[in-house]
Amino acid sequence: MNDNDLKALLQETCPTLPGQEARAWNLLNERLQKPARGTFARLTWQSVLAYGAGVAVLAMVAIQSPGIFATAFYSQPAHAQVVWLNGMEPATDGPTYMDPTSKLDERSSATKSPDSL
Amino acid sequence: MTRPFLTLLALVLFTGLAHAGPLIWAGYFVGEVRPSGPQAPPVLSGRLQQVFGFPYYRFLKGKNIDLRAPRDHWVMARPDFFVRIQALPHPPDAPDGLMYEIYKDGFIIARGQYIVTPDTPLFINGPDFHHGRLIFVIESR
Repeated sequence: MNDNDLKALLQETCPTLPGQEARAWNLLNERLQKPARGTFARLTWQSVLAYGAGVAVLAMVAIQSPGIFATAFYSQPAHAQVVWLNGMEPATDGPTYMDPTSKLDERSSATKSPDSL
Repeated sequence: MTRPFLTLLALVLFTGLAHAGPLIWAGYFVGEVRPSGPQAPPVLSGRLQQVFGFPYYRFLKGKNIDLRAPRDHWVMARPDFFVRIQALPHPPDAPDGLMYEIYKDGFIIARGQYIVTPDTPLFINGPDFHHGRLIFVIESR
């Protein structure tokens, strides 16, 4: 499978929803401009470079779920790459079945009868 | 007799090091307004605060991952939010990279690539959890 086939397959299976890129772009703009307002005078070529890198990374994150969109950028003050996901429901507090330290074990051991294996 | 043995040992060690893949740490923190439980190390906490703004970052769980192992690595935070990590094949002179997929409610919601770089961790802003927010961190070891 060459790159074109792979691209076509991805476009078919994970199409970009209308307006998704625009929403991500607006959110990224909003986030990047908030801290910059007070320190606009300190805008340097490094920050412009970081902004460009953020936009470049944005294209590397593919979103597949409707209603959820992501922005990716490089945070210069934190020296970290950041992926910002929006539109998710809160995570549940239920047991994690693959985690032996989760509440599932406590609950199952509490309900287990003394005779059971 | 000793010299060939030492040469062979050095060769084996060098070959092993040359093929060493990225060793990373992946884990979850919960950004919170009030402190509770074990906290993130101060340096990491400072970096997280620069991005997410919470004053406290409770350590939830984490593990070292050797990306040389030819399999998927799953890092679960909650049953409805977890991340799959897979090493990316690359030429020997290229930097190590990995592919991550983020799952919510059993579905992939995003995937991307991360070049494993010392001092440049990857932070993923997860869903709200309790009175804070789940944050996924990958950093080079």
